[in-house]
Amino acid sequence: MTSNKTQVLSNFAFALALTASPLAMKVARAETVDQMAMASPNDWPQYHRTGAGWRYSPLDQINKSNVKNLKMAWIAQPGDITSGLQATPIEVDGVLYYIGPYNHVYALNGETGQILWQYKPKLAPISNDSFYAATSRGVTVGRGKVFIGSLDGRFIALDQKTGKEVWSHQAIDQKNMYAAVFSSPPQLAGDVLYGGSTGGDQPTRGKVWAVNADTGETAWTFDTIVHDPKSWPGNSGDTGGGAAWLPGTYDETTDTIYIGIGNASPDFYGLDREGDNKYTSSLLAIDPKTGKLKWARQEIPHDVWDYGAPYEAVLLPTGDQKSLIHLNKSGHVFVMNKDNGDLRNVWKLVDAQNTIKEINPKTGELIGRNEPSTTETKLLCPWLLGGRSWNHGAYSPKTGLWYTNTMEACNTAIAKKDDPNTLKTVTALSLGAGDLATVAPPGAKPLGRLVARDPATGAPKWSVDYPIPGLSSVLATGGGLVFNADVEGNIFAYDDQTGKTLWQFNAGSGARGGLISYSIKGKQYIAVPTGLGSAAVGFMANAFPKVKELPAGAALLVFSVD
Amino acid sequence: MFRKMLQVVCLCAVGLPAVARAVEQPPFDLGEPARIEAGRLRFSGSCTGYCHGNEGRGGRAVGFLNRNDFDAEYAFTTILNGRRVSGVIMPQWGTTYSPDEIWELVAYLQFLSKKQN
Repeated sequence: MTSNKTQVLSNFAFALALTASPLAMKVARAETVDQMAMASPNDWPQYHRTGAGWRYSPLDQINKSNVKNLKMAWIAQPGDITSGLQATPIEVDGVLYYIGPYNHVYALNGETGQILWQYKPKLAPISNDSFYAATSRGVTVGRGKVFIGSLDGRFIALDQKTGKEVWSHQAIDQKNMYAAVFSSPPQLAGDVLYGGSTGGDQPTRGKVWAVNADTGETAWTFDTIVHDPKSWPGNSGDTGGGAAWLPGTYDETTDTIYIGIGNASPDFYGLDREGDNKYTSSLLAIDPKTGKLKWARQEIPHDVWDYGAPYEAVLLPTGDQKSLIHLNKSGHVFVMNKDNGDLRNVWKLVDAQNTIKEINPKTGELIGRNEPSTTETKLLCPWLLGGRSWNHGAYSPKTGLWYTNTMEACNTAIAKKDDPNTLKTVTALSLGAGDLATVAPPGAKPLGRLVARDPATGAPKWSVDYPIPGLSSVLATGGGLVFNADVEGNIFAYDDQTGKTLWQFNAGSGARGGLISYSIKGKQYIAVPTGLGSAAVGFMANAFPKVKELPAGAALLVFSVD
Repeated sequence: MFRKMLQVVCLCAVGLPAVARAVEQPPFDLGEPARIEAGRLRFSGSCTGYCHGNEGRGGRAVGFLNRNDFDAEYAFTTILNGRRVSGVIMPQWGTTYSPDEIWELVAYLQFLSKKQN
């Protein structure tokens, strides 16, 4: 947390400059992480609210003393429940934008939920056969447009006011890429729109595509799989995975894109790809104008556990304001210098951990690798869904804590070469495993846990156990609250210092999307996407049988206090 | 036991590929161990971890153990065309697997239906 007077005055001046003119947003560029993270306090203009990746709203009208009175303001229903509602909504200038199943985009009046416009693309039929059919994690709003990544491999730009299509760019050749889709919204970095696709569990070669945001013309394409026989022997790179399937973040203070890269393929069978398999399971820093790599940190070399690293980069406002924390599916959190990727620390997020004994916090070296075997079924912890699934955490500058859902569970697996016959369909997953079953950690119950940790050291502050891991993205607010929703449909507000439950509500179907907060005409709202659907649920069923009974749904619930 | 009537299945749902085939009787005895094993291997590669569960125990999609309502022709048609129910998508396999290959899956499912948990 910044402490000196000069910084406080500088932030105040910056905030004043922003509110002075509607055009100021385009002109004023944050110089520090703190400034970037606290901009546009009434809105939720980006996926994680700002490029700092905090999922923190400074609003405090809803706070510890009145949250018990939180009640429904309105509900929006996308009209289709297939795969549930996995999006994080965006709110800018009183309009809330979200995306439902089959890429159906809605623009709503943020105060009333009234539909202002809607858009439904005509998707190419091949997209129906994709393993990832139906879902999207959100939209991106900027430059007078609303951008989506489509299920048939396109970036599409819509007019922000009318929802009419402005341009459409076919980025992915789905026939030759196992029907890879954009399951996440592409992000803006200046006038560049960029994003990666699904495909880490499929025999494909990962990419990040970038286009001019105003015209849709190709700007650059980044291959996440390096062309180096030491890293990828033979042709193994062609089926190496390395999908960047979650949104990256744009650090306007240094004009840098951070984007995480997923696991190596086949997930559990590494014999045909002996090598470090760069840049799977890595965090990359990319120049938005050229698509050139600024730096890269591969967190899990030669991944054989499905321990991808596509997760969010969270920038800390503490110390020299250069620390970046980044979790990958192995359950280890990396703390690095955001200017060069230099390692500052590594700490463990979950207890159920037997695949990587430890990671040297100075060198990043993996110590004690317990790899899948081709001759015997092994127990591997954490499981293939990760020490946390993709649902994001939240950082609060008030408490200095990082809040995130975690998962204590394992899976069995024996490494097996994929039968080429099973890879004939675009639906196929190339997991390279047999006897794949999710199970409890040895001697313990499988469970979920919402944790509050010091992001730089991992020191625990508080935690709340869940019988089934929570799959929603956490929200932290200036009112001292942490919001989280579980798979059964319960939405909770916790005291950010203690984890005490201050409010809860039953939405009737679980949450997979991102909770947000915004304010219009002085009134604060909490928006919660509910409606359970997720590929994760299928994998969870053996270890958590109750998920089989959980109802599907799709409804965006918006709350306020009178 | 499976019915021996000829059925014509036409798929007209919007968004699904138009795959219309006659559902005939299975071309071999569904109880043949070699066919069941072929189906088991195919099932374990395509259907398990994330949908129907290891060895058909069930996941986000139905399990197949201990089912007295098993219907071979319905199973064949569903695998051929896919289905969408309760917000969950099952992709179609008709453009990937031959009818024989699908019947082998059906043989395995019938085997599972007679197994206790």
